[in-house]
Amino acid sequence: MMVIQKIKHLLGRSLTCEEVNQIIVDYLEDDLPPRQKALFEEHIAMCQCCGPYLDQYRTTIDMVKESGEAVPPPPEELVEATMMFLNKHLDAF
Amino acid sequence: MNPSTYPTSDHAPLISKQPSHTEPLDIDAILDGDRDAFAQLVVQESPRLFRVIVRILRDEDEARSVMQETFLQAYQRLHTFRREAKLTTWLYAIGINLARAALRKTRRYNTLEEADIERLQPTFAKGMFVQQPKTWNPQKQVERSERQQLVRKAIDQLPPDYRTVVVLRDLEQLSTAEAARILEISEGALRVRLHRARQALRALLEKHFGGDS
Repeated sequence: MMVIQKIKHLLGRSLTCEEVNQIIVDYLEDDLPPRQKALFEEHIAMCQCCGPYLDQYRTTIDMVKESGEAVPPPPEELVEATMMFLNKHLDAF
Repeated sequence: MNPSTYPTSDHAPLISKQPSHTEPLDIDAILDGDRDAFAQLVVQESPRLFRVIVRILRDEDEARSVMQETFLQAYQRLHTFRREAKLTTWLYAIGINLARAALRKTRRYNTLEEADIERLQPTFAKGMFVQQPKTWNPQKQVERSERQQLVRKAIDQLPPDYRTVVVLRDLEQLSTAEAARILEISEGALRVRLHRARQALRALLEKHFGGDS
């Protein structure tokens, strides 16, 4: 965190890296109040640690989404097999 | 699918008409135990429910078994549905609980513990990062198929509760509210768990992508 940010924080006008980290999910879901959002963005723009960290965090989410694209479609007979299973068990229900 | 292909028994068949993928669900009939209406739910929700369960369990045979048990339990517990959530949300809650239980039983040797998740969170001293994050460029460093494999392997290492939240939010892209309802936790608790899971994944992937500082 740069010196100017430390001073602002001491004056109660900025967030620490840890405070920024705790609200990343809310920021990405656009769920922060305007004042807090502005403080978050101000910190990210200035901080040599939190900017790259947020990039990595976003990249992680993107890669998780990308990893899910390769799930094979369900087997064609799945519904029929499920109905057979239910038929067998519900007849005894 | 032809109802005549269902196994016959001395009792009436489960359904008497062919369900379709497009007909709207008749919730009242389902809750009355109408089997035709319930069959409609099976037809409409099976593909998505199966996909979610596969993503949690990473085993198609086990996912099939868990999905079938999910529909059976749902039918047997229809009287417990309170209409406070959507019927499909309630169905997914049953399925995901069964999937998580199955996952706990078959825990693999490389699954992380809660203490490992804690260790994978970033550390701060006096509110500041202890270590400066390295620059990442996974798209250039690793081929797409290899990247997908590395990420899946990292997700597989997460404990069941963390893996499930990643599947629901980042893979299935459910809203925070719906994922929280399915997992029966508060939205705040869901966000905390999701954040910890993502940070653990980031740390697990860093050894592959954090080479250029």
